Amino acid sequence: MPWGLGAEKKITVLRKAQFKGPFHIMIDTTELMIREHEASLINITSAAL
Amino acid sequence: MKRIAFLGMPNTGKSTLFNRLSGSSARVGNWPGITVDLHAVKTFLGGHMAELVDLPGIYDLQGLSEDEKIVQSFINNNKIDLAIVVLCSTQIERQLSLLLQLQKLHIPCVLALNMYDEAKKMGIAIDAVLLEKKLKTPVIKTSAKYGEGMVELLKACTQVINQKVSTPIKKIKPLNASDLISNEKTIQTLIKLTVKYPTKLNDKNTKKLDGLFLDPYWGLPIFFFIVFSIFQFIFTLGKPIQDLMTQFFNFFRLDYLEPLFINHHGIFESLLLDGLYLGVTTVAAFVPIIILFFLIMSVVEDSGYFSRAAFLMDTLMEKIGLDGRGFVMMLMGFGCNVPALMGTKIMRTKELRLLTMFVIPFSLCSARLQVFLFIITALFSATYGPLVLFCLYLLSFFTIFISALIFKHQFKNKEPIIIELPPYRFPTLSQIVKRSMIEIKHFLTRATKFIIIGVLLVWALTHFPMDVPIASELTYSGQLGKWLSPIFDPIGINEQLVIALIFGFIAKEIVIGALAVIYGVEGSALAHHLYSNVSQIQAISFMIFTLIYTPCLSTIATLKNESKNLSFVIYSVFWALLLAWVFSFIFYQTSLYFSS
Repeated sequence: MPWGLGAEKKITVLRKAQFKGPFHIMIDTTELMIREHEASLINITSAAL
Repeated sequence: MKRIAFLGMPNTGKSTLFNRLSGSSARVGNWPGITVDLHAVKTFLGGHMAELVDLPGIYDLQGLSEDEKIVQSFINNNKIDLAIVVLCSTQIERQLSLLLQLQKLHIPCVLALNMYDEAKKMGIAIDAVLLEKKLKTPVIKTSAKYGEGMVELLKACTQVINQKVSTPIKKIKPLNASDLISNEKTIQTLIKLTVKYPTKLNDKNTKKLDGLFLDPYWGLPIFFFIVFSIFQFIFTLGKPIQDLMTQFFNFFRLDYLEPLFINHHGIFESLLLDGLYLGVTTVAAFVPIIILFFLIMSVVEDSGYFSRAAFLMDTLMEKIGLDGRGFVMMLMGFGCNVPALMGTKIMRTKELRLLTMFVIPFSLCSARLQVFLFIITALFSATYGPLVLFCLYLLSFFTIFISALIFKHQFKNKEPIIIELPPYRFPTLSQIVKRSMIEIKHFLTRATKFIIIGVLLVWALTHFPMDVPIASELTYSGQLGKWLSPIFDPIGINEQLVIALIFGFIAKEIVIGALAVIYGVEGSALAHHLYSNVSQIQAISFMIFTLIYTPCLSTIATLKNESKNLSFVIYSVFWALLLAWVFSFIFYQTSLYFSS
């Protein structure tokens, strides 16, 4: 449970920086900057639209 | 004595709450199992003497980051009578896990729902009474920023520390998957019962500002404009104050101190005035810029813009092993390296912070600029002078990038870079002032000793033996210059210039003053003397060396204080000296080859 983020949370990608830069994401009410490498470690099992 | 620990995730206002309750009179203490400084303060609470300890912000008791290891070690090695768990009310669903983990260790807790004012603004409502009942832990709504809920919080703390604790506190053990799932389920249930979110989060300002500040086209120009404005503000206001202070110190020396020694000329007077007084005033002259820097930085940091700057610059900085925040600090270093080094505190990972501190001293600071302006004006025409200065700035950037690129594997950041982008906030005036005062106190108490020792050493080198002219070739520094000539001759730096470089070790501002003492002429006469005795190629080589070689004593002292690692300081000074020599050598020998 790193950074206090639990499993089965909805992740919203708000924007992505240019030139393969980091993502700006939102999980619950928390907004984070996350690099591509760290983002690739997130396991997305399903998406509810 | 009761021990009360403040725990919470980063950006929850934990330290603000700690300062609010402790009156920011915290001292730095030593703790079993802990090698880093923690702030603590003694106070009287509920009929007991209590010690409040501010622990670093952590996400998890199980984490492997430096800060998390510190907290784990503190909990396992020190008796805690009460933990004040501070969480940001707007992120309660993410932050409750820390409280649940502490409760499992049987540590008595009080939960502070901090920044409740922000939650209200966003339309989030928390039923604190029900939450308290479900958690079996006092829950208090607070706003440390505005001092709300402090009385209630102290009352709850008093009640808890006066309760008899029958269950022994456990040591931290690794959580397994079922523990994590169980925690997560408990949190979900608690949130469903006690927290009401609006259908749409009511934080339009943050969305609008992010739209502007993180715009793919306008984001970077706005960022450079903001940094440039901060830089301009600090130095437009700070430099004249610094100059005024220097003038005052000179006036005080000439009119009050020197007359005291009118009948006692000699080594004692020189030691006091040229050694100790110079050392103390060198440190004091930095204070105005440091005050301004931290006043502005606390506004920028607390506003949430810093994380946005990191987002914008991260793509470039990632390639050299740094992150976006490092770029902001590097730019600040172009004003003064000292506050820029102190500002790297915002980085949580040790390796990332060390690499950033490693490269900051290569930023062409305002003190080096003074030296370069004097030499350029003396030796170059108005057409070529600005070009030389521009090339020195380019070299400064190049040195930073090349050093980071070379050492990024040595200071390899093993932790993921995930930076929180908090909502935009504006800190209160008292928060800004308190924070700046703490930083200045740290700078003064820690840097002074180191700087005075350094100044006394250079004083001894330039004043002994006693029967020869000060700073002449016959003094130890002069002999050192002669001894070092096989090293400096190939880069075109003569013995007199070597002595000036030794002075420059204290502060770059005194290089020109040192040259005046060495050559025995001042101002325009010194400029003329340099023009007649030093070639343009030699001058550029000297400026390249001055730009890159060991930073001033205040910077070295700060590097030592912030890294708490003497080997790191020696390593970075040695690298700077090596790089300075190599670059000067390449320039000087290539220029000689082509000019002949």
